[in-house]
Amino acid sequence: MAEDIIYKWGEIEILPSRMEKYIKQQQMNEGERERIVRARNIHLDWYHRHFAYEVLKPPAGEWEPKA
Amino acid sequence: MTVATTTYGAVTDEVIAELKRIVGDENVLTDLHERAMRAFNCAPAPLQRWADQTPDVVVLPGGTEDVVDILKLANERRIPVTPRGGGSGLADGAMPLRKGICVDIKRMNEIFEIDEENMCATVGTGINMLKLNEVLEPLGKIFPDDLAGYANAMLGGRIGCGGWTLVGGRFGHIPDTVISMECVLPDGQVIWVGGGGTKKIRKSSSGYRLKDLFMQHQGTLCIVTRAVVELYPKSEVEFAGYFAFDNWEDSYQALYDITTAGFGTISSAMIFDEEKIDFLRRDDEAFIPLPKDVRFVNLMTFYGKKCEVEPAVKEGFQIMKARGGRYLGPEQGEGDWASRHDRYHLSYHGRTPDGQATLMSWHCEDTAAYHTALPALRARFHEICRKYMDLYPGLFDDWGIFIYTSNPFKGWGDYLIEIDIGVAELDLTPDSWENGWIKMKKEIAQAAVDMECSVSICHGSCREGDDDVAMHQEMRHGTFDMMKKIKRMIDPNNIMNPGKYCLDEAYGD
Amino acid sequence: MTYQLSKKDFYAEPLSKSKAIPEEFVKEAYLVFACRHKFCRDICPNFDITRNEAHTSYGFHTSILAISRGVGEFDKLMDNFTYCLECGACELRCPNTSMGGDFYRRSTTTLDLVRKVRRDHLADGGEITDWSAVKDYLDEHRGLVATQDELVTKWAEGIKLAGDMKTALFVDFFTATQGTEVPRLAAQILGKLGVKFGVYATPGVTAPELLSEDEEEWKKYATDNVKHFKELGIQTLVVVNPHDYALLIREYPKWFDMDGIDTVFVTDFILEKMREKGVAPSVAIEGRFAYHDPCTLNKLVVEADSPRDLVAQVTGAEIVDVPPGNQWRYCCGNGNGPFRKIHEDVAYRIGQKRLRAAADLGVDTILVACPHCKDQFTDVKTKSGLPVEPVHVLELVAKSMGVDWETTSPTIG
Repeated sequence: MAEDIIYKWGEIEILPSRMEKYIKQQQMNEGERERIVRARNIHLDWYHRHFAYEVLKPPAGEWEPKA
Repeated sequence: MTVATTTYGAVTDEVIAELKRIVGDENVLTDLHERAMRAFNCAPAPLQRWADQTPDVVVLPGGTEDVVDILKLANERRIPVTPRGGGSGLADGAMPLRKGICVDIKRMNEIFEIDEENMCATVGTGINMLKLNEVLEPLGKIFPDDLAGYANAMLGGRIGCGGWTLVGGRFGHIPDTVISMECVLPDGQVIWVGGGGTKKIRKSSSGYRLKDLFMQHQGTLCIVTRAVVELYPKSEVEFAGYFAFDNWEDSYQALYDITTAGFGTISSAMIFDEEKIDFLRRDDEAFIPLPKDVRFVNLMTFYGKKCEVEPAVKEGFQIMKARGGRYLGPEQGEGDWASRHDRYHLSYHGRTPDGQATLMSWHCEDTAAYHTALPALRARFHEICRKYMDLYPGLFDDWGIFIYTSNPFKGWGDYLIEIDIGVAELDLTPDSWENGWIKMKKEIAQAAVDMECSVSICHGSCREGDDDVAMHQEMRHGTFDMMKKIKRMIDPNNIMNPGKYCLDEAYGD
Repeated sequence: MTYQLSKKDFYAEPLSKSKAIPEEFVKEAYLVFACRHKFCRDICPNFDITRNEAHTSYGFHTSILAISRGVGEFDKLMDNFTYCLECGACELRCPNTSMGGDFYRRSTTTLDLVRKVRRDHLADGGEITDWSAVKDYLDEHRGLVATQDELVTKWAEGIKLAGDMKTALFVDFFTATQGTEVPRLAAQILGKLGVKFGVYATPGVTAPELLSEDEEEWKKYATDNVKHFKELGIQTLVVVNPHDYALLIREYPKWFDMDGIDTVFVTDFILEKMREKGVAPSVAIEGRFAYHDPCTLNKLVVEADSPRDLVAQVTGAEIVDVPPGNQWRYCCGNGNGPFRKIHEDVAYRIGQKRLRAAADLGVDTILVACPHCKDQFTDVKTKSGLPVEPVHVLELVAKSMGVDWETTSPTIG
């Protein structure tokens, strides 16, 4: 990242000190964050399906999945 | 040359009563908050002039007949009219500069006909493209207008700005995918313009090609009420491949190589420049981390039949890799490409010099450039932005540059080069608006014109700051003079979106 | 299940026509205005009908910002602010939520804004057109409090309930009076699964409409509930109405410590028990069904899939409807607040559009998981003549489990 971040439970978030002056954070627990992530993933999946029936994988040999 | 000041009529109670008679009471909005929210569109706005740009009344016509009566009334009383589609344009087309009547076309969203055999659909221009495609989806068809505002823009506004789409290299842009359209002129006359004189014929050699005249006029000539649009078969497959480069030269050359390779299914090629990558790293990496040695990213996208796309993608990989490109993986291609419309509108992207997240509005300065102009323009745009960031600390932020392919049906030719600028709108003062924001826009527009490029490739150049440069310099080869003649002929009372494109000058002397 | 806390402390400061918009609120309004792409608009089931962009998240936030710039007056907004279904679609589609809300821990909270603006206006002595219908509804519920323990168990006549309060069914006043088949079927299904439970007898006024009128009163009932939950030793609260489920999951954590109380939606609980006991519905019911994801689950909470998963347990039953993400644009038209009471005509047209979409799938039944949806669709079906019958998923499951019950639905099995 270009900035410092917090890395917690596999999720990345902004350092809270960056949200002290102009935009403040709200109280938000992990349940609410989970709802947001769920919604984002639903939306992104939908967007792919909306424009084409299938998302092509990269050609064979061009990408090794992460271990 | 003098510019005549048109004397406009007022929106009186009598006018409002007449508008109610035309569209029904519930479709005439006079409450201040209803009008106030139609004062602006998507681009950073002069909030200090909010009241000045609030229309006097908003009407929501239901169809062509309503628009005819509204325009006849407005023309007779010399009341300014500002057509409004989604209000999500970035050139202030829907911003009423002279108040008057805002004609909000959103009720005109009917789908009149889907002609599957002739692969076209007739729709009201108040329809949103995503909504149209939801209806087309079960039929295996799509209207491929893929823009940042896909989820909210309306066809009428797309026509008004001569819209550009992210997948235009494959499917064409709005001037290509709109086959014909019904236009209501200021005097109430209704004409249907297309390639020739018919509604569904795409290419004709009959008569003048008037469709092009009434495309991208920003509501200064007419209100488009219906259109016949192209339908494509929904693509079997899509592929979006992101490749990292560690230097500009290779990234730039790779862009040329991929776009001139001759692929039929390529829909776009892009560059995210170094500053854009750094900007995205502020929060984008929450989703897809980018290694530190990634300085530039090139994107190639393909749509179409699998039997065509698959071999094209394979060759595309070789082209990118030959220039040192490193594939960033399918997660990037799937997540990032799918979020292409949404990601840039996050209001917390802004950063102050001391690193605080701040409220900034995203603004995109779009320029049409040819390939060899790209390096110089890129450098100049960053230079201009940095100058004003230094002059007005905390008000502006360089959010980096995108370069996209921009010609219909092919990869090479023109490019959209946009510098994205974060603007701390709430903190702008009249001084920083005029001497910061407007001057910066003028310099950016000037940089484009100095290189014989166009001030705008997709949004329009009728914004304050752009219009002067665009009309008096870019359009200096007699084009602006012709625009003025046409404007005066079609709109003698200057009621259609007055003040845009410097067209008030048509009424001088 | 998963409690969700999303709370902006500056919402505690009241807005008023006699005061300037506070700075934090100006920023709050600006955050949505600044996006301007208005993805919130065409996803909004209400805007889909009215086509007025004032009736959207963008419209609500922009009108507040405009007032801060001297354009508009706070007390003139209210009729506009009634045009919100409180379904949550706009919150999910706003880039501030979807593309960064989790990273920044700052998101768009249109429901909270709309409810707050309405109640601040009322507290300011203002009026809202046609609010009397909402007030009548709330007064009716207030009037039920005196005999609530009898009311919320009346539906159980003839059903033997055996169990302590470790697991308790939460039945709200609406369901107890207008949707009695839901708790009845839930009880019978759970009984068939051998689950012991009690019924929580003092829910108080839980209608989300109250949050738009008087938050302090709402909190009073909620405070009593949390106190009683703990006094009664309730460990699992099984909620039959997703409106109340959403309130317990989303609103209660703002004010109360819900530790030790697992609040679970009825279909989640039934599914969990089926899996635990290795029991599946045994009677096949062949059929193609539309399914309407309730807004309060699909758009407002994390765990939203159990009604569909429960239907999947029924051999032969096939849901042929669009997936949950595509249903963000739908609402039955009832809304999650006062909408239907104030805008009956628009509510009808929203419901009609939804029912017509189901009819276009070639089905004669739309499954629902919410008693309000069932009530609204029943009304819409009657008025429109569209040949699609709303049936609660528990009716389908009960039939498939051979539960002895009476159904008014002619179309199952």
